[in-house]
Amino acid sequence: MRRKRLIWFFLMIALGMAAGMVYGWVLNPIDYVDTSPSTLRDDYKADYVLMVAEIYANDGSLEQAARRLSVLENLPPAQITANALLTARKLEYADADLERMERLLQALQQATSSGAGESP
Amino acid sequence: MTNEHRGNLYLLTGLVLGLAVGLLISWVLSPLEYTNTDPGALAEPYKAEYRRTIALSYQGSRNLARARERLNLLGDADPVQVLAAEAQRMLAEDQTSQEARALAILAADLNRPPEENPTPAAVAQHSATPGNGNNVASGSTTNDASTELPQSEAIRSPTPAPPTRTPTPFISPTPTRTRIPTFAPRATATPVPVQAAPFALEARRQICDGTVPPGLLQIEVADTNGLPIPGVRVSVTWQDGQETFFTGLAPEISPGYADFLMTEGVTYDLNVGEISETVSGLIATNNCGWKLSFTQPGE
Repeated sequence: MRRKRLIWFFLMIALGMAAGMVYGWVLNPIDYVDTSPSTLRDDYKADYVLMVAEIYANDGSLEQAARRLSVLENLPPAQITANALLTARKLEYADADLERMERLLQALQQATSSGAGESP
Repeated sequence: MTNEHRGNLYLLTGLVLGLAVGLLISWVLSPLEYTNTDPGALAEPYKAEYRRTIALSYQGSRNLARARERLNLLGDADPVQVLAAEAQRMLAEDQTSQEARALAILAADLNRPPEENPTPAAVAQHSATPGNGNNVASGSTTNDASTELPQSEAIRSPTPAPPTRTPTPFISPTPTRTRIPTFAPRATATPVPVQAAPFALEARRQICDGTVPPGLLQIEVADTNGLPIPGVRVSVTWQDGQETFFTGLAPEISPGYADFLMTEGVTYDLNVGEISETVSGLIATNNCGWKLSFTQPGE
């Protein structure tokens, strides 16, 4: 009898947990606010990279461009730009926009390779 | 009877306990993580960075329609006010004036009537993005109102990653109409040398009729056509310090407007633009303020 009660007790706990998780994950999940840029959809990321490319085309500051890209994701800036360029091509961005992003990518890749070349 | 009630009670206890544990897991220990979100869901510091990026990008492209669409993604109730407030906050915190200026210019241009807006740079190669038609990035130079951005369908996946909550800093959404020097006075005031003046003082008026707060120094800057110019640097110096700000931080008044609250009895000098004539001897007296109007001299 006692064993039966114990089994039922744990069964109710399990049921309660299941109900709690369904409620917390499905019926009333935490609102998706205060997210980080890494959760952005790919086309928004690509647009952000385009903006950085536009700024770079205007001010020529690669350092600032890299800093702005690092806000987006925890990846090398060149990688972020390359990923964005892929998305941009899929979405058929205008040629001028693609060109700006390609120039930014080239500059970042050159900076990375020259930096690697200088290391002992 | 009593024993039967006790039997039921333990079931309820188990259920409640399980419910509590389930909620703890789903809300705290392993909350949902979202992917494929839109910029409106970003934490406030990231939104501020996003706005600065839009403003700086606009400086180069001068594509106002595109800048407006990008700002709309953030879901601000009043993007113009938010931009102006952000610019003021950056200046108050002594942050980069280039970004503050870009924010002020964008705020002012958004607030202008359409016929006064600057024409975008020659970007005839741009074309509206086909396909899902939902991407703002490759928008046309004309105001492509048909480009609609979808509500993002965030993908929810329960993962065991710990929650990462970004604290939201307080940013006042209401720009202040009057500005008070907020930083400690510097040891030496740096007078700006008089050189060739791109902005000429057109009018200097002391206002003592009580219509403006006492000591308020109002500055209006316009181009040769009389159109107000945002983003023009204004430097105010006095014996123990100086402050720099920009026109356009109060776009609801005018894109070319800036103001400064003087301390009674202190004498101020003022310069407008990168190089301009110095307006000297501005003193706040009882119930009086000043209004200065600058224009770019015609060729």
